Amino acid sequence: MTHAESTHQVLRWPANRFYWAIVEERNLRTHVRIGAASYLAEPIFPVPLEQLQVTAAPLDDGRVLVCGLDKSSLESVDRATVVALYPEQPPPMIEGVGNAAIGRLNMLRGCYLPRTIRTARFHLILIGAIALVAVATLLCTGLSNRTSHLMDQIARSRERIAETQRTVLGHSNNRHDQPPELRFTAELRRLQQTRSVPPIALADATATLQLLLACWPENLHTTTELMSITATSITVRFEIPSAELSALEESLQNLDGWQRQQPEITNRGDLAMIAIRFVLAQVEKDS
Amino acid sequence: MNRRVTIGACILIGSAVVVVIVFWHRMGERKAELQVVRAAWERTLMDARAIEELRSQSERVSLRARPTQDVIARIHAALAECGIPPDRFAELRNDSDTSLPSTADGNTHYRIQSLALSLRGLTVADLGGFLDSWSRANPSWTITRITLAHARKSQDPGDDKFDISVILSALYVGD
Repeated sequence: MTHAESTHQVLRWPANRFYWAIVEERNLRTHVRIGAASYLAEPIFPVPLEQLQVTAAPLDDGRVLVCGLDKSSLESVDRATVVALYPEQPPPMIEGVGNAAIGRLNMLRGCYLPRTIRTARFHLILIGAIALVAVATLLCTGLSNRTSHLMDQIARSRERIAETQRTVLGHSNNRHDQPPELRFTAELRRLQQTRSVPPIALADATATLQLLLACWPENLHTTTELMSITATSITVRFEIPSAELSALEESLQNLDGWQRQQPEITNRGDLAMIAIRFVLAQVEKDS
Repeated sequence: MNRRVTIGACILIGSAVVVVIVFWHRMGERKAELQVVRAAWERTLMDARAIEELRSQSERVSLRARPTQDVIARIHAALAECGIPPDRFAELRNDSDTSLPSTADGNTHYRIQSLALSLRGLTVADLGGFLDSWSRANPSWTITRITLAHARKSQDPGDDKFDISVILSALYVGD
């Protein structure tokens, strides 16, 4: 027998020192609620419930064994050394009570809890609290470190953004300049407006002029009076020997994609003054 | 004592849980902020690349109407490049300034600035040289109308002189 075992006594008192009752309560079967059981047994006990230390244990047949002990008897128990107090055996007048049920009827509970157990529980709670504080501290430290790391990353990303903007915008000595992020956005918008493909393409007349000059008959003796050219229309007024009219007609057939309108021809002796207009076929069709 | 210990333990547990939740919440806020900043960083990189790319392109649209003096200087440069005497330049005047419908995003309003350029006594070859030189040097300006009026006849039809009117048009961003 160790010192600890010698100092931690378990008392077993005869069954006749206890008050006994059997209550039938199905709801208490699986998990005995001692308070509820004691109230059910109160009419059976010969003394008021306030004077008793009551405990209970479920029986195999569904009933509940309720056991009471005078509180005055418990006052004499040395709770510094005694850790449990059980009935020695089941009461003879109650049948079907096994040792398992008796083993659950420890009377030293609640305010009669032995000091060693109370101290052990306090230490357990204290250790649990210390462990909780330690775990919480570790968690908070970890979270704080992670937060600091995230803040560092945020600061670095912001610095990278600012550095990129400074690089793109170039250094500015003007103290009255707007913030870099605004100037950066404004620069992008300015470039998008001025260097992107514009929403409309202005029609270029030079290609039309090239086309006309390429088709213009070089071997005919024309004298151009007026030539007006846009991307969609050509108006030409010129003089040509009347004998070359048919050759001219043939040359101007080569203006693919252009619709020739009826020419105005004015004869001046051997010469003919012609005013002719071409319209881009697609434009003519749309109109 | 039991009750006091239990209450104390509950307070301790509650406090610990609250403190951990506060720290967790702060970390969550920083995470969300980091995501926002990272998205901004990626957008900045994309924008920076777009700026570099756009800067490598020539200006197609100006931010405001070009001053006439600037255009006259450009005309003289084009004339000089193709060997046409500067006295062939007659005048440059405003022709029109028209508004275009707003773009799809509704933020940009474009206008078309048109200037009428008059040149005197050029051959067709001179005109071709000038137009080529002008178009290469000034891609933002489009020649939208060319009018040749016969000015002087020569022995060789290729040397006939013309008075030329050219409409130069360019887009610019209106207010």
